[in-house]
Amino acid sequence: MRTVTALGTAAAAGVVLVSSWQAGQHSGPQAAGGVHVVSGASGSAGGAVSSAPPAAGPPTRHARKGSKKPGTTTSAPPARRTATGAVVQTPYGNVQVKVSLLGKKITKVTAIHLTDSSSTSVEISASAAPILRQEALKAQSANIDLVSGATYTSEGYKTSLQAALDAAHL
Amino acid sequence: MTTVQRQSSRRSIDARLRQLPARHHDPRRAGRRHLSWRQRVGDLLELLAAASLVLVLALFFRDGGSKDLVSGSWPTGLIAIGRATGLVAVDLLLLQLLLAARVPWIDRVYGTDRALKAHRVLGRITVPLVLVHLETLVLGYAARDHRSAWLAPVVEPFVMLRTVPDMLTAFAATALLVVIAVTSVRMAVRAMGYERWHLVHLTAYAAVALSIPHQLSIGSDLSRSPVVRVYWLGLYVLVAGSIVWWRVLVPVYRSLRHRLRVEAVVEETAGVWSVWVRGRDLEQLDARAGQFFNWRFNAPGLRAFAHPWSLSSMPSENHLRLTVRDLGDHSRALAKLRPGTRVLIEGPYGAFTTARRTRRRVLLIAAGIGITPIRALAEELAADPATRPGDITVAYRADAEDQLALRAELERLTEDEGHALHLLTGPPVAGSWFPGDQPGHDDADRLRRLLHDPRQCDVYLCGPAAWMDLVHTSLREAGVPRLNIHDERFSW
Repeated sequence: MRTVTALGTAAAAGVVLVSSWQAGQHSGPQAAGGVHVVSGASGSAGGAVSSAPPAAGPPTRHARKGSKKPGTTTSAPPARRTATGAVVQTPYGNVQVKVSLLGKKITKVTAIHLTDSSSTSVEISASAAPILRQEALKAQSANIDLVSGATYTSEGYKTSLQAALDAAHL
Repeated sequence: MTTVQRQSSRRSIDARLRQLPARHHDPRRAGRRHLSWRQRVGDLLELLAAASLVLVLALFFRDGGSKDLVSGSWPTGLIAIGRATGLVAVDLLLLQLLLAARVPWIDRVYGTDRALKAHRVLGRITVPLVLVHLETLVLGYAARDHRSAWLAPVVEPFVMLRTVPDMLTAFAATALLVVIAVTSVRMAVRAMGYERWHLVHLTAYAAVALSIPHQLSIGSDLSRSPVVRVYWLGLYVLVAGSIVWWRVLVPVYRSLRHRLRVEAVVEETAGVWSVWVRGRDLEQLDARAGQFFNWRFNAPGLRAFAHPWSLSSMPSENHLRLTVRDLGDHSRALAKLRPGTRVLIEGPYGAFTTARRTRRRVLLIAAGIGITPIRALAEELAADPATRPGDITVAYRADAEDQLALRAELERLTEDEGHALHLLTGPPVAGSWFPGDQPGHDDADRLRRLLHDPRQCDVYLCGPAAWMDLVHTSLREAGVPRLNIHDERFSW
């Protein structure tokens, strides 16, 4: 390559790389990229739980931070509580669920985060989530069947749900 | 672009030369245009290659990769390094395949030898990168799963096989690439022989194919945004298309279209045979003196592998000739070829042609069987109406007089027009490309005794690699500019 072209190319490459580096630094929370092994599959004490008095802030804020630590429970039966499960990493993105409890009864399961590595992943998990929620409400536990075609989402869902229930000592 | 159009003209070279009045045909101007075309296209190709690497890295950085790299957390950092090296490795691997796909623009600009050399150099980068990609990801996941650093490299691959999709094919692809890299070390190629090496090397296509599933199923880095998807899809299509088109369809079409068959096999000197190949409409091949084909003959020992052999005379409308010295491998089988044997060709390849000539005077230097393209070039140059008597000087080096193949033809070509032919015979001399009895205190001096002013010449040389290095050095010492020295090294 001739010198002028080579210098021009190097300069342009430098500018592009530096600016994209900067852009990357300011990018928002990313869907997990690359390969990710499902972690926290044991599910024991991987979640966090908080009581939900009306004035309390969104419970997930604490829950996300504390996802690696054993959960803390406030025991005020038969109180309305929520418990947030562990963030489960799958090859197609993170999965995390939150359960609402009345006493020992699971009243609601909400997906905080579902697989989102691509538009296909989003579609798959969006169609699987309602089925998984129904099953969990019916079974009143994390002992639910996998949704075919959405194995990773299902497994992540189950693991995160089990972690949330563990944290609530249920 | 004018040069391309000229080259792809449907007329044969001698027909073209006959039609052009001498005063309009100035090889120097055409050569300069060709040189500037080569430089421009070369710049463009290198620019595109660099741009592809920059684009891959920039998209990775932009989508959060730069954040992960400096996140401060070991697992995230290691995994980010693994992702980045994987992306760069795929990109380089695809560029490598493109370099070996015999794309005519790459071939005309760099010559087949240099394109394949770049392919080799890239290979020395790609394969280590793939290993870094694998290792950093294994360690990164192990660290994330809180496995001990000692156990991780053993346990984690099995965990990945179980939990991550398409890991088996990815590991197989890596293993293949390592085998290909190891067998391509010069020593190994020599030990295995060209044909076995080539067979192993063809599995590179399988390696790339095996790596695709894991790139698609887990590599959200390859499918995240539309730009990224379009880029990778485009690159894959371009590379696969080039390989199928230039390495398979075009050679098959040409072989069928031109109906090539062996016409005669002639022994030139002991152990040197010429094969005359007859075909139709050969001017459409646009083959030029100095180029080579990969030849396959429908005969025992010559069917399975294509051999790169140069044309030893100017191609005509219905004949091609190649001349081969018995170098052990399969050259000997050529002697037994029967007339009428079907011939399959890939080519013409190579940028070692008179298109590169920018001077009126030309010095042709050959050693041993390296005479074949030089003999063809001498014929084309002598036929060029712009060449004046005495413009061509041929220096032909061989160990002994009886090894001077094609000598009579060269004498005929040079005598009529007053061109010079120097036969340099004698055993090899260490550190010199001349025989021992040649007067002069060094090679540059001996060169100047052969012809008055080598600096005014275009020089074409062909011979063994070590010998060509010596010629190159003495030419530079004698003041020949680098751009006027033309060679092609076939000892890949």
